[in-house]
Amino acid sequence: MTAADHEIAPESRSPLQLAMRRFRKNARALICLILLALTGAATLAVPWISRHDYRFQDLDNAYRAPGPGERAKVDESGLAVYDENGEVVKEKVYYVMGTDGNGRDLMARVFMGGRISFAVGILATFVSVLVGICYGATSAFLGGRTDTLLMRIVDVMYGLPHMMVVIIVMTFAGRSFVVVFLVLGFFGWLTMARIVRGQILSLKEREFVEAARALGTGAASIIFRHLIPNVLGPVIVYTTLSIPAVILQESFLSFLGLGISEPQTSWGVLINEGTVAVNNVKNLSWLVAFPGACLAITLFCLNSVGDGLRDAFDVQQR
Amino acid sequence: MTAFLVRRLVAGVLTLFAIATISFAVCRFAPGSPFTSEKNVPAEVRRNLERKYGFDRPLVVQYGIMMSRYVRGDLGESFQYRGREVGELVWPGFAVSARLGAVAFVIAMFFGLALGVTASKWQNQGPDYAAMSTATLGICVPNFLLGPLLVLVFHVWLTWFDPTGWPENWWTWAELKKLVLPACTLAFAHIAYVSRLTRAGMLDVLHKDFIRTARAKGLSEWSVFLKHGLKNGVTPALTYAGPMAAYIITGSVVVEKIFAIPGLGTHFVNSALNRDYSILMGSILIYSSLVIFFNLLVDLMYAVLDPRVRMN
Repeated sequence: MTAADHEIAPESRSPLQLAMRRFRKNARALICLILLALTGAATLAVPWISRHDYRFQDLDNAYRAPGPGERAKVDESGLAVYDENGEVVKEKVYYVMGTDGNGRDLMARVFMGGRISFAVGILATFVSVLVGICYGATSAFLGGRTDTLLMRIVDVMYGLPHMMVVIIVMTFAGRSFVVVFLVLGFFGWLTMARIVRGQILSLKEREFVEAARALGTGAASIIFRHLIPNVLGPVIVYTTLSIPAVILQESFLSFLGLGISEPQTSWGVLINEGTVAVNNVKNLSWLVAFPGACLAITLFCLNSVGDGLRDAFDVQQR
Repeated sequence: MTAFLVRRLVAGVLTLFAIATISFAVCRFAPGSPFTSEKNVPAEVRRNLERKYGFDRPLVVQYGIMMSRYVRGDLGESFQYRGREVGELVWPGFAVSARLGAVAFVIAMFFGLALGVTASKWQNQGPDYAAMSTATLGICVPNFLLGPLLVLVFHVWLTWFDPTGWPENWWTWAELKKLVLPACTLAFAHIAYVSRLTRAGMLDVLHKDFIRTARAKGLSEWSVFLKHGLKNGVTPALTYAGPMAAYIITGSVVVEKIFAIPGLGTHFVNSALNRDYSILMGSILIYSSLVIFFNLLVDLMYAVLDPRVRMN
């Protein structure tokens, strides 16, 4: 090979690089990604954004509409501070999103809730992707009767009213953060398993795998060098689309009072609390508006990013 | 076709059997019992209660008794509402949920198809953008958020619809009006999906060769669109109908909570919280049968709509 050949040879790019290049051209998906990053950063940075702890009850300011207010100043031990005349010292406070019925800062709670919602979404998706890949890959590799049996099990589980089973398990397994994401993850792996199995089955027969095998490449090398990188696209796409679905399911459970429990909070819990508090007599709409808007924006952005990735990887919609 | 039906029916019965077994196991091995309450029940009373409901027998025997009852179509007796049959509690709830679900289903299908077809007829024009924005909204605003919002706008501010109470009859608008907000809440997300599927399906079909042939034959634009396009383009949306029915059933749990509707979902959630295993199992069996039934219906519909499936 001469130097001239090198110059003519086109720069080679992996499918991942090509997909990323296509993704960068998608303005809507990029904007949504930035918005998501901001929301995510905000949920992580709650202690610095808000001067109020999400559990602190400022009972003088219960149900305060967004805006300025004042409250009794307290020292480190939580006791009220008095001036020389024996009057309670007041300090100015500003509640950007108002407070709830217990006088807790809604902004701190919304972002803390977001932290939980994101964490549940990501962890449960991680669990389901892990189980799905292992199950699907095993099924595809073993093939034959085992494959048929494993896929029949998936078919049967697809037929279950999945949310109902989750509700039953939740009521009996207790309402902790770990249980929520494990249960949601465990019931979410079916689609992943099918996608991975389908991909591997079709890839196994492709020429380049055949060629690798003919060259004497070992099984491990074929799996890690040839199969997994090619399965990655659909997996990434499905993973991004699965996170909003899980966040939605968690909110659904929390809304029913079966998900995250006090003192922890999540968007579903906050929306539920807000819905209960809002009525004809009092206009407390901020209690629903802020957590609701956060949830809606996050779902929208996650779905847009997922769609963008799907277009970038050119994954056929099933 | 008959073989297919028989195979699917057998699989459905097996699935139901598996569900009954799993929920029995979950209920019995879970902490808590239907006979514990805030009040301290004397040990003797508790023993008697357990004897009456057969809790003192070995689990295998309990399981056998329960299964043989279910085979006979008997859902058993409630543990919480003593002396009342599960059936007489659950079936009226089912009737309520089914009506609500049916109305939501019709709304979702009608508006979903209408929006999707409109969007595909005027692709990348005003109607398309309007329809697709609605669809996007439906995907990111969950029903438990939409419900309170609709109540706030249409009941509190505009006072058009009053969602309190369940319709006493089905022929006067004054009564039917009570159903509008819950049914729309339940249907909204599905309007979004159906319209997206319809739009994609229609656009896909409209670029096919036989459409060009139909145009070349000199058929009018609307005739091509409605007769050739619509018939094939709505298949994806129709196949979504089965899963949609299943989702509507699940979504109904939340909507029933928001609007305080005495449906099956309310029974289901309450019985899970009260450890009323017999109602819980009764309602989960009804839910599962419905989901299985709708899945079967989808496959049948697929075969009817798409001759290529029938071949295999």
